[in-house]
Amino acid sequence: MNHDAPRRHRSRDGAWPLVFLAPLMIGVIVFYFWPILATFLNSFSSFGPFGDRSFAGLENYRTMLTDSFIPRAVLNTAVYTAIVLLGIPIAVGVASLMNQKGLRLSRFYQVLFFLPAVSMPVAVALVWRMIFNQEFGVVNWALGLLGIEGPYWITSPWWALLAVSIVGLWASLPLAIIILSAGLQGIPSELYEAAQLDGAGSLQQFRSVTVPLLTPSIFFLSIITAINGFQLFDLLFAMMGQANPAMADTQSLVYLFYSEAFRQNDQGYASVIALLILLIIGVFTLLQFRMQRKWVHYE
Amino acid sequence: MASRRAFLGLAGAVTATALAGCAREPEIDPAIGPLAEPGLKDEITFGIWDKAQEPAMLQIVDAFHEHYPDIGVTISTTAFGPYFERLRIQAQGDDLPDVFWINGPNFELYASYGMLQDLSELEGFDPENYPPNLVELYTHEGAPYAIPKDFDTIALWFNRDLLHRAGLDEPTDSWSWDEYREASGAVTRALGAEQIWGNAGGLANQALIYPLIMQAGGYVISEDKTASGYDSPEALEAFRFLDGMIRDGIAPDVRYTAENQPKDLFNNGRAALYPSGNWEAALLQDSPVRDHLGVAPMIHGAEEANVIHGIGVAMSARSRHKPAASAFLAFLGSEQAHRIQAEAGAANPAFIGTNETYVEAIPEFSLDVFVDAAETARTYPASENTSAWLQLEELLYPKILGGDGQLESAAEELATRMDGVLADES
Amino acid sequence: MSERKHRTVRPRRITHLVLMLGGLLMVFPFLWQLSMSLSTQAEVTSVPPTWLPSEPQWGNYPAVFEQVPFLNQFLTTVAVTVARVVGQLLLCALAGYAFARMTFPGKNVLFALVLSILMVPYQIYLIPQYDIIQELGWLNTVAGIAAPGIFSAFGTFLMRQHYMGMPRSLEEAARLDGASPWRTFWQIMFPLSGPALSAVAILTALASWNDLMWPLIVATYDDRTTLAVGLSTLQGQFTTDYPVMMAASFMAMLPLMILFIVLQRHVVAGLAHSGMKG
Repeated sequence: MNHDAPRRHRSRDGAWPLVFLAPLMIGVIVFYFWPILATFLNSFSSFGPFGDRSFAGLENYRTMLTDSFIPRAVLNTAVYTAIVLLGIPIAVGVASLMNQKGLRLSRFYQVLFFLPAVSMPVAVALVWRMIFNQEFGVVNWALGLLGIEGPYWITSPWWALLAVSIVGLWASLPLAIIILSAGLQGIPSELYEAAQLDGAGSLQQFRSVTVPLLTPSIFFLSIITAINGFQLFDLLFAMMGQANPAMADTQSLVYLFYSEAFRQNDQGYASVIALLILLIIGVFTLLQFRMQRKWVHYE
Repeated sequence: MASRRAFLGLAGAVTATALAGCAREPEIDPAIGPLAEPGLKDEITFGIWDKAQEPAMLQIVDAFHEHYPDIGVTISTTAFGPYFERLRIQAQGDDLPDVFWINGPNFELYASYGMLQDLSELEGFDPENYPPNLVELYTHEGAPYAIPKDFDTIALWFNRDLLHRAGLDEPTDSWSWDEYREASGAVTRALGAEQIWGNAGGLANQALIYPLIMQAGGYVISEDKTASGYDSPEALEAFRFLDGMIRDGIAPDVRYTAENQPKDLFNNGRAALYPSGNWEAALLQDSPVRDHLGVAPMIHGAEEANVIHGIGVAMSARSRHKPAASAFLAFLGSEQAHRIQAEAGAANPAFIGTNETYVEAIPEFSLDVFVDAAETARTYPASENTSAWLQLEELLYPKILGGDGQLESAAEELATRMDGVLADES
Repeated sequence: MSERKHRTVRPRRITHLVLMLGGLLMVFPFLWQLSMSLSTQAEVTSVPPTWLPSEPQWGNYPAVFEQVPFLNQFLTTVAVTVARVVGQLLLCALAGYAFARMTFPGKNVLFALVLSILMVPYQIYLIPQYDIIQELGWLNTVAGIAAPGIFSAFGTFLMRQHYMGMPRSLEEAARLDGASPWRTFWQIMFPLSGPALSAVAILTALASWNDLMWPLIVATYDDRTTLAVGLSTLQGQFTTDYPVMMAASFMAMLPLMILFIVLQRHVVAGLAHSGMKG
């Protein structure tokens, strides 16, 4: 078949690209491209309790404008994301400590710091739920040593969000440290030597060399951390459990999506929420890209 | 080479199934048809929500196998919390278990949307064998759609060891609200330092809030099913009674019981009093403090009031294994099956004349209290779309009893929203 | 000399102190989980906390198998993970190679379209994907849980980057020998893709093993679902047996943790790749 390919000079690959791409593309079309369209169409439908649908025009969109859960869920999701983003400065500190040349035990530290990255969110959520237990949890025991009476972390509105955010921060640290470490290893050591010759101490080196040269990594990281933050579901679902009195005030956008789609079975409205999540992530990412010019140093 | 073939096979399979999927439109005969022949070989699923009853259900399956050795029954147990959430997903996905438990609040919804099999023609099922009010509960437009499995009423579970340690005698007859409150307070004061509560608190509707509202002389839903009773003075009185105990530190906070479930507190000997149903017996017979547990009649307010409910067993209208499912369902409704669950102490059987077996199963729990309560107990409050306002209860009960001064306004909100749901029904 | 030594040693000591304390904080939940999984219910709920069980309750581990169909869920999770990893490795390598090295009309547009999948939150796909799996009759099957995750835009992107970075001379030689693109790919390029393939495999295995929402809706029967779903419904099941719950969750995490400790370098490299996403 290669012998008589007529347009050999233009595309010597003939039909081969089709063979290589078809398996992936069939799945991508069926499971991704079509669903995007279907969700868009669903957003104009109203669903009965068992999935029977009818055309509803813009009603789902109108419902969203008056639904008091939506602004609260947006706020909760934003607060969570903001707290998790606080992990980046911590990760910068840890990564620069861990990547000092010739540091002994560094592989051991890696195991300690990276273990949360491979742990199942649902499983660790169950553990954290115990750690935050108002009565016998370790956190309130420690607060008690300081003479503070700890709150109901898991079952009162703002405390629950804070607890989930702390766990989110903990879970996001490993990836941040890994990515920043890769960034640190890319900084040429001559720059440090030059700074040293100028008489800069290690703190000054950190400020004038490390941080500026890490900004591209930090920028990248802040985008993926934010996108992951907006996807908050597993931790919330497993840490708070069902029938939690604080849930109505703590649910995230994705939790709201899940609850509308699979508890209330209003999949039309859930589709609108999904589109809202898309919009928020899109706008946020765009903003970050525009703002990066102000603080990200590319060489 | 082998992997190359595997890859081509995979691609082929994906395409083939994608095409096949579009053409598939399963035809299911709406008629129930005859029971399976004894030699039939088939596999069915059986969905239940109570892990504590699983052993008894397994015994029933074993007994069923004496008649139908080749029909495999896979029991799928989901905790009550997510059970109906999953059942909805399964119903929508045309993936319901062949046979499954259903309850009063959800029955109408499933029956009216054609999810349940009409059991009028089920061989071996005679509604006369069960109490009429339970048969009525599972009747939709004149036809039965589920077989009563059991019935439950509410009583006061107590831990006599804890009561004695607080210097109290165990209840022998129905306590008044005041007696209940005083006893709870005495235990909490005496044993609070050991993390032990007078009563287990919580927000249970059927076992706690419904009976209390009725005992105050109120109702949850009006008789004509058009109005919520949650904003009535009687309902507020019941809520204030519970709220008062929480505020005075006698009963655990709702945030506390969200983390530490009342049944866990009682089961682990950390609460002395626990108004709840006889379904707890299956669990509590394995409790570490089993020897200290007993049952007294439900507390009473201005009136005596109790709530009766019972689980039903239904068949999916779109089951692909109707003969096998019918055979199993008919067996579940039989006297033999009801006696098995009674002997295991799992549930108070609905089959008339088998209650004695249940009462004798765990004599020290005096389960006859529950059987006696059935005589005067009131019907479980339900409407066409009960599950819609159950979600409102779940959302707003914690606010009513949350202790931030919202008792009246949150009860008002619950009533208003529930009225809205009820208005949509008619 | 002595002064310089003085200056470097002191900060190192602080470095070790900070990293050791921070590291302990990071692994504390796992240690605590292990300790609780070997305690009694009374010890778990005691105030103040009981740090170590007075007598290890090994029986909590076998008890897991009585309370949940753990073995079924474990095998399902393994099967789903293997299917997704193997499927992705094949499909993404093939497609990544085509995007990197072949010429055909509309290549860039097609690649951009595939990449656009990454920009869209997963919820957009979820409900229609469920409908498709249901149409296929794949609810509650390994195929249904694994299917959408086999087709990965990110894996394709990683493989394309990898092939873009490989020297063309390798293939040119094979082509001159008259080898078809298929043979060129399969016998020369694919075997040289180790690092990229291991990155894709590790990221997919992590995502697949830990995924919650998708299996939660497509696999609603406890004996046919994954560990993550099984754990999420453990609460409120029966009575809350904390030690057994901790034992179950510890066992669910253990396989990936062991894998991580054994393959630490590869896993870290693989995770570093996920930074390319964005």
